[in-house]
Amino acid sequence: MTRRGAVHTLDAFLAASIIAMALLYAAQTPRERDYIGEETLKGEGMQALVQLNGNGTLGRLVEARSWGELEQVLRIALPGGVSFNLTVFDEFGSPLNNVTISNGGLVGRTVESLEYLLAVESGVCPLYRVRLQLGG
Amino acid sequence: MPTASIDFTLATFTMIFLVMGAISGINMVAEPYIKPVAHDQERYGQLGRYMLLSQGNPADWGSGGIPTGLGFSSEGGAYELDIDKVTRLNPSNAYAINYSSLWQALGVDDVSFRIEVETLFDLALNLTSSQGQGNATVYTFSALTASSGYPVQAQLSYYVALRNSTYSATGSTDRMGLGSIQFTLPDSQNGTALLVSMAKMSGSIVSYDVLPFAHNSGEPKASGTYAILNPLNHVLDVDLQQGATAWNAAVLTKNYAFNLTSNGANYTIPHLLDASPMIIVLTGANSSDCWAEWVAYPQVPLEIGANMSDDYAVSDVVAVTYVVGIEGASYRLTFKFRSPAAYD
Repeated sequence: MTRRGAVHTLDAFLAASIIAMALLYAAQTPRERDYIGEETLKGEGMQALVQLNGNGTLGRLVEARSWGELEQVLRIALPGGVSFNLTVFDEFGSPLNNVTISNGGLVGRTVESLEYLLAVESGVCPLYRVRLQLGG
Repeated sequence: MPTASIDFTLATFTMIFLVMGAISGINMVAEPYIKPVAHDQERYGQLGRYMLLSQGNPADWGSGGIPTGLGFSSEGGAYELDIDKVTRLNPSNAYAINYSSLWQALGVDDVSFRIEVETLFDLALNLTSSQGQGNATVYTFSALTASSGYPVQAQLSYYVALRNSTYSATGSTDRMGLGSIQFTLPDSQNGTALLVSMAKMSGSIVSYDVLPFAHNSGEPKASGTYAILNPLNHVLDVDLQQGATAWNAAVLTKNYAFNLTSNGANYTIPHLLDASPMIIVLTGANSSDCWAEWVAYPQVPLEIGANMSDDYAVSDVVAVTYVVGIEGASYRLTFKFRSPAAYD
């Protein structure tokens, strides 16, 4: 290998290293932004379910199978820009709602899912698993 | 070392620093326009939860005094707020705490904040028509219930307070959020009347609106002209203006309506189990007018805190929204946070 060839090889190696480092560095910021969106959606959804369960509204509507009213309540409780889709499962994992509980499908850059265990005060004290999918 | 090698090494390092500097600079400039960084979002979320889940210091600061630690929780469950702590956030209440005191009580120097509390959906009342009928006048009102423009179906309770009388009726809004109600008021009475309505969508989700209207009298004066009402600690403090005399005070909720008993210049507000905001109506007269004033307890909607309307342009304001409970009814509370030091 001539001396000129060795210098060109070194040039190429350095250029490749610089490009790789730049890409690695630039990739950090988008990953961080996606993380924020997911946590905000999950937090808003979970907080709304906690509050609706705390005053008995969520349990009452699920126990009465009032899916239409449950959809209306979620439309009001969740922030305006959030789309949602909710499914209620019984203790055996079978879906209970026979209609879609959603405000028009999941729309948004980020889609997240959370699950909430719901115990309802009644004679048999049934347990339900509520899966709330959020888009925003 | 030959000169060419030194040149080459210097050029390499210069190139590395230029590329890294350019990327770093672009990130710094673009960051406010994209989204807040993760640690700010997480930090603001923790601040919001802290204020909603703690009672503050002293724990009963809602009944009076300046808090040294900021928290709005009641002794109830999670996200259940104290009615008086929330009421003291309303700047129109005589016992309100100003933003400076709230900021000092929070104790986080590099964060400014704004608090907004409102009902989960809106109820709007309008007077549609009035028609004389013998010795009475028939008033027709329309009601619209909606959330962010989306119609909401709700059950409504209506009350009309006029002088010493309270008339009541019930109704509902349809799938388009529209409803109407009629009241017949005797012409033997005159003065400013208040139409008060409570709408319940489901369980604890309620809203209200109040519409003053004239019954055989001049147009209603602005709120606070004849009496300023300040509810706190389940006592209604009445500050009469312009030589006015109070006749009757009543509490109206979704399911109940009753008169309050006077305790000197004040009225005692009872503790109610009804999941509904209370609307307190005071009627009275001065030399020329029969008036009616009102106040909500808890005194919402409200806004208090730093002015952040100019800051949205740089997108460094983080809004965190919660559904909270106050005396059994649900409300939407929004914190808006900003760290001026980080931006400036």
